[in-house]
Amino acid sequence: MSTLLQVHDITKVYPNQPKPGLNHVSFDVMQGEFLGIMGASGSGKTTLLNVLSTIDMPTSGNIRMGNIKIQELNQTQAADFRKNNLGFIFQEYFLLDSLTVQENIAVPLTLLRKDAREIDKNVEELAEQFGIASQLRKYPSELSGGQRQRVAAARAMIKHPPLIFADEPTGALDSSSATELLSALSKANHALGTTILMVTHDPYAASYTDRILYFKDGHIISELKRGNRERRSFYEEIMREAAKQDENR
Amino acid sequence: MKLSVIALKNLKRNFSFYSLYLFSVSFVLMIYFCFTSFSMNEIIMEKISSDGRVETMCRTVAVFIMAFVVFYMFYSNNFFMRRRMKELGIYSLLGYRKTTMLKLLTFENIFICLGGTVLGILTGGILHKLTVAGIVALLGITIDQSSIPFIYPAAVKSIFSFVIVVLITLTFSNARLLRKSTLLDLVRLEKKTEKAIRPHFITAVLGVSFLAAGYGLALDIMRGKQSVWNTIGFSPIAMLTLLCVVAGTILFIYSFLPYACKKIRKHKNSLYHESTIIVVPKFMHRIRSNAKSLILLILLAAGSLAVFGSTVLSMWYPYQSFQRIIPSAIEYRVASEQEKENSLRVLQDALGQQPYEAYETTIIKAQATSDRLPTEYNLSEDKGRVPGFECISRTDYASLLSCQKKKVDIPDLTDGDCILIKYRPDHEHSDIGATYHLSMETETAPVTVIQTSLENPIGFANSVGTLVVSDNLYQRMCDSGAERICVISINGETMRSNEAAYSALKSVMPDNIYLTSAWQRESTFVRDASSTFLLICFATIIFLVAMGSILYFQNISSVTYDKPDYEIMQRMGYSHAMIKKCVRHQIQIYFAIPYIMGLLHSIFAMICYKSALMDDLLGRSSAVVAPILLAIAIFSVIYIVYYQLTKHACYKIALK
Repeated sequence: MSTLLQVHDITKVYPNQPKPGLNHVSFDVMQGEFLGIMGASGSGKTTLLNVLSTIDMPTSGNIRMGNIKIQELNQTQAADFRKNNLGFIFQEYFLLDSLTVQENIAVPLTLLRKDAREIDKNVEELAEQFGIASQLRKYPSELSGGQRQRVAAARAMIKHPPLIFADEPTGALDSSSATELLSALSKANHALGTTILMVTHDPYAASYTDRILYFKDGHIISELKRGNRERRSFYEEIMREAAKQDENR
Repeated sequence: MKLSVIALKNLKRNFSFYSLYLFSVSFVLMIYFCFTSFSMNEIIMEKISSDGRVETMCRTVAVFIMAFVVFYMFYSNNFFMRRRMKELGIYSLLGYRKTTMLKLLTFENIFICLGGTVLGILTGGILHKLTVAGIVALLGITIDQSSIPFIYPAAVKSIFSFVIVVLITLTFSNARLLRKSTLLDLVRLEKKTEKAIRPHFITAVLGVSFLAAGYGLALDIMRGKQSVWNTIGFSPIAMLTLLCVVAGTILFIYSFLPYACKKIRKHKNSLYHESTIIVVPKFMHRIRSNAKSLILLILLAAGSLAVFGSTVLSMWYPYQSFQRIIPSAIEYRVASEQEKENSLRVLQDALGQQPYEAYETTIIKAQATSDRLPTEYNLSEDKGRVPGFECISRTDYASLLSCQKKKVDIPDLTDGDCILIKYRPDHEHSDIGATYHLSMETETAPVTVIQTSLENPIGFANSVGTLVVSDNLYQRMCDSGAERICVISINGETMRSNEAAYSALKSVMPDNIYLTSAWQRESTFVRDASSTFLLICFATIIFLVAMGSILYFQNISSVTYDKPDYEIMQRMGYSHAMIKKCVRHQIQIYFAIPYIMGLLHSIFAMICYKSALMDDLLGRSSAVVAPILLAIAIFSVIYIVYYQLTKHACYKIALK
């Protein structure tokens, strides 16, 4: 397994804030890995996601994806980088309200200037896969939370990006919707080899990942690996780790 | 915590959000205050309005401005209310009653309206001073500008009573909205998406057909006597045209535009472009809430441009026709040789070295019989003119035209030929071929019209039924002892604007009613017309500025509202340039619709006005082009300024 993303010694300092958002963080993400990031509120998870996804700039340190040094990209290059390499799924879905489900999913391929027929074919296939084929003509406001999140996931995956960032994707979902979404992500991860970096609070969601990095006060405090274990047993270990961290608060 | 304190804190914390509301309110109130002060300004009114016409116009325009201010304040209040529903929902969750919330809203409205009024009075006062200074400079009138107060107490009273009435109505409207909404609505309404319009093919086609019918009817008036305006009647067709255009506009916005968007969305090849896929659905989505203001903007633009254009037209036309009505710079009749010599000597003294030509023409008045006598024969009979032709020789005709620097192809005339000078244009040349039997003392001379022309070499005051005959026939008529009128025409390069020549002649012939001068007519006309013109210009510009402001605030608020969407788009890989492109296209649509439709409506209205109500002496339909171009130019300049302002403000918001 080769390295997809190399994070080396990144620090993010916000003006007027005494503590850095990220404090000398280093780790690697392997190609095809499903990586979870956990930690309490304010531990630096979202800052990490923003910095890795070129939405924010690190104060120091290096981030490399293949040959690309992410922190050196200018605004336009960063936009192109996101367009070609990244997919996003957020807790708040972030769908465009005025576009239909079909159009929402089509936007990333439109940006890549794909042929209209190809776009439609891909959208339909993916909608089928995510169980939203009958909702394509509807607007996001007409869908349930779970359906909206599946639309957001389909939108993130349609261009088969090498890397997907998911920020609390199950945060606003009921348990069955959450399970459906996580299975879909897991499937994409296995079948297509998509690398996923997921920030979550939810131990259940985290149990779908291959590895978990725990953050506290802007740096990594521990790491859990699933190895060849069943999801269930990984889940139990995550719960034990959570209890341990609670004691250390 | 006291409610007023919450309201004030809320205002402070969300200043940027409220400042938009505050500035828009103070802007419309500024216009209102400036206009009220202007109409109360007796010093300037005395100078520019002698017959109370400007005051009447001011009052009429003021009604429109008031209606506009009310509309605008309701529009912004509703807009801001919708955006604050979530906040109100939180108050409601915390246990505030609806009456308490209404109080809070009313407090805020009072703060904003008061602030807006104070700002409006100050800026309106400055604007009023500037306007007066502009008018004084343009018209060259002398007034003591320092005696004009900066703030008229009466105008302040008027603006306050107006604002209080508006406030009370706003409170009622907010009360209604609050009463109607449940707690669930309050929490969800803010981001509650509007139900998109489901466009129908039939209403879309109907909209375009109504517009086409309205425009068609307006154009039909150009057919003159055969047009339905003439055969059916002016008022019913005018009503029908207006109805068609208004209904067409409404359906066009509510049905045709969404229908066109739907078609684009279905046509994937055109939809799948980085900006189209964002802009078209967004536009279609918002059309329901924006339709009313778009329709209002179109009608406002059409109305103010049509009024402006027709005012320009009704001044431009007479001004242009001076060239025809007074062909020579100065022209007068002389009764005796002595009067002639006197006048020419005075003129020589007044003009000194300035080059000029004086040409004497003797007109022979002749009666005639014919079965096809032209309208000019009997024209002005009611004003005491004896019916008949004013005959001049071909040589005089050619010489006068040459003095007036007009190049006209004059055919050779035999004794049986003549050229008839028309007062109104006759495109069908119905007089050509007509034979008139000119009666001379002992004989009659038959002459046949071989050409008609609009180029009268002698002013219509002296010669309405001008007939150009051959030199030979003219000589015979002279010898026959018919009535003669001796006319002196003065021409020269700068003579048309020469005041001294006219004043000198007027002093020797104070009672000569036939003394006409291009300078005198033009300057009197300009003096009389300019106050009306300025006022119309002022009102038009205010309305266009108001339009631009509505568009500005509307776009700013919708981009502010869409800000999260632009953030999502950035994450998906839209670059700043692409986001700017989307924002630009979005703004362009909102600017283009009222621009194009408003202009089209007003152009057709001007064509109608010109054909129906103008006394056409020019015979050139191209004369309508100048006022239309002027209207377009003014409209475009204001529009472009606002478009640029809006664009940059929206870029800033979208990419902040």
